[in-house]
Amino acid sequence: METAVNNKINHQAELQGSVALIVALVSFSMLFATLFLGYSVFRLTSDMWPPAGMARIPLTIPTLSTVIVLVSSAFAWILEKSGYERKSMSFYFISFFTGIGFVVCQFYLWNMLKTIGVFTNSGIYPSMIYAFTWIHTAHMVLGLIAFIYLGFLLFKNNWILDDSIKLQKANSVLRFWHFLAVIWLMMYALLFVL
Amino acid sequence: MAFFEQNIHHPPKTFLSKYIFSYDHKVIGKQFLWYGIFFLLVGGLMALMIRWALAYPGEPFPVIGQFLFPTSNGVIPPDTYAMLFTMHGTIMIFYAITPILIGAFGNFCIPLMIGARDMVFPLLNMLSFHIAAVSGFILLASLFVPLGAAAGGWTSYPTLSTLIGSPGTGQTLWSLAIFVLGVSSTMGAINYITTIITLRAPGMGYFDMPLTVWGLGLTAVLNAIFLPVLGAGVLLLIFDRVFGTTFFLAGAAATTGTGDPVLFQHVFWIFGHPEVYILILPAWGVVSDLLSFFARKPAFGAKATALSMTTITILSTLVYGHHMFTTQMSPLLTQTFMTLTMTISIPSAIFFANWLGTIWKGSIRFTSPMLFSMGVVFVFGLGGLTGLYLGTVTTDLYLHDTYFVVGHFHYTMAASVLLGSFAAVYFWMPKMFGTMMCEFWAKVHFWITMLGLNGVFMGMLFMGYAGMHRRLYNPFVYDFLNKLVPINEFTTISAIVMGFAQIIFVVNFVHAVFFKKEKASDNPWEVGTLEWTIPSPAPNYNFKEIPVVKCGPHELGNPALTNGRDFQYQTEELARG
Ligand SMILES: [Cu+2]
Repeated sequence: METAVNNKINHQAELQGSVALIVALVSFSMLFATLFLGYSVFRLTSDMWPPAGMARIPLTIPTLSTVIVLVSSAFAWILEKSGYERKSMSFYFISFFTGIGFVVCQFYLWNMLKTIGVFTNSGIYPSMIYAFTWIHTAHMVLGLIAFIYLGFLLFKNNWILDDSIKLQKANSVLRFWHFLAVIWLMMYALLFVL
Repeated sequence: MAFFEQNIHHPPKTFLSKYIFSYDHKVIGKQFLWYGIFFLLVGGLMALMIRWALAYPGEPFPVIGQFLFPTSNGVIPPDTYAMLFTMHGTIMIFYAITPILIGAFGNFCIPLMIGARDMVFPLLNMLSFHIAAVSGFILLASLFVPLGAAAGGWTSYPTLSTLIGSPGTGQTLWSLAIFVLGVSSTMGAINYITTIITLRAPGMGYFDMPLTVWGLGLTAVLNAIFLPVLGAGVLLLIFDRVFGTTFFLAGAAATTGTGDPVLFQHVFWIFGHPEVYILILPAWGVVSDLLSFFARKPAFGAKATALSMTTITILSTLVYGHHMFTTQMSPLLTQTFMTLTMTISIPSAIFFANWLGTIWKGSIRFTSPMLFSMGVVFVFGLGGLTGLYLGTVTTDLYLHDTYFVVGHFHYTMAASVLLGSFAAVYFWMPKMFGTMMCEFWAKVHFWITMLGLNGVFMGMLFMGYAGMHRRLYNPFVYDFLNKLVPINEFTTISAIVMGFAQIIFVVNFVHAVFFKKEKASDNPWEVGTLEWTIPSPAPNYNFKEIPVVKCGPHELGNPALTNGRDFQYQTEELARG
């Protein structure tokens, strides 16, 4: 009887958590989709790309960011697969600090852009680079805050997430993190590489 | 469906935890209701000022004009006029209708009507209201900044809304307020959708939900998908204004790679057309239920109504181009959008026919909620029909940006949604506050409002057809519009009448909430949905025991009923003869 009730509660938490997460991710996706829509309009209607007189942005820093965010996402994935045990604590910290590293990298990117003379008001191409990375980085900061919350959750429960409400919360944080990594990959490809 | 464990809230003890930081969906609903009514009055006052300027150009606004516009001797100055119609639209759409129908009744009705003790995420729900409150403050603050509030229209098209068109912080604050409100509404939408999917009482399938919940749920879906689109648009607008990006600034276009003002229109209307349905769907849902409740018979084709509403929700995402026929779109696109727009008539006609089928041969009780619901049927029919002329390319090219458009969207969005909100307020008043509003004054309120609003919006249709542009400060500087002075005067007088009729409502409402001694019974309207099975006002835990649903929401007038009632509760086994 006891287990039956527990199973029901577990099922409930899973369902509610995943429905809410799906809706939230749809909302976030629409925000970024709108940005990419704007990108494609400008890209498709412009005779050359980058627009005349603009050089391409050096790829070093964006590539570094990409590697970092992939590492972070990979360790987050390992953390989830390992079942949030105490011995996977290092995965949590690697993932978290690489996340911070990503944000730092973005600041380097903006600095670099300024030193090579690319400013927000230098035309549509820099506008997009700045605005898109600002918005994405703001979301990464949100993701990091969620990561800190995850840390609290894990340490408070001594690294044992035994009920599915907690498990659901932890998984949601990491799913959001992976989502942001995917968005960054798209931005990297569209803004810097292609 | 589910039989999930739901905790019973402890009753709040302090004033703050009861009225300000409440987790209770009913209290949050009431907070949204007061918020919406406040902004409704602000926006209404602005409407009266706009109407005054159009009927009596150059004359000081009565009574408070001297105080509001001291520099011009009480006359509304041209730049202020632009701010007034901008803020009127913004406030009415985002700060009055949205909080009342979606914020207040979404919060109040969804858990009660599906038999849940609260929303799934009460904390998120509370935050959603507080973020909306922050947004309201930002918007109100923008009225008092140097150079004034936003003045680019509620659509805030660039270049009207870029630094060139509106310098000063008003427009920036406007954009920020909209973004913050979008965050709040998206949070609400996540909550509504999750609640409807997971917390329906055992036995309640989707088609056993009242149509009100259908409407609110579909609205939440549209909100979750399309508010972020507007969010992205206003964010980029803020960047353009504050950080010097060039998304919407047209320069020597392609060669230097500057931005494109029309892009904002696309983004705005991708959101903006669904927004129309975001506003109207809850009202449709409420009306579909109330017509059945007060005609004392089952909703005709309730399933078809629900499915038509769903179809419209899907179609509404595909038609936004009909707002942009005059932006030099390719004819292939305009005709595609026109055809898709016309397609919406099919599901609309289905559920409109279902409404008529519901009241056909019913034993109608003309209570105030019923009067308002029938008012919705009337004004929505008119509004929908005038939409056909705007969705058709050939007629739209002439009517675009005239008062015909203003009349049309006031009929569909303002009139039907306003009447729908009033129907909801009168109907759920006993469950919300435990008292009934005075029926006599409610009916007086209805008739004056109905006459007034038809005067206003019909007048708008006529003057628009005659060619009056929607944003002129003084149309009568043009000779060809001089003949429209009398109809403008008529429209303004109608607006004043309608405006004053709302005092009746406010007095009635405040009296019922704070001063009325006589308590309402548990089920004064004699209907069978779940919220009427519990005491009035609803206790803080809603249902002592989670109800088990055994029949649909519209089981009225069943001849097999033997217990002396002409309705049955959703918790009762369907009576069979
Ligand atoms: Cu539209």
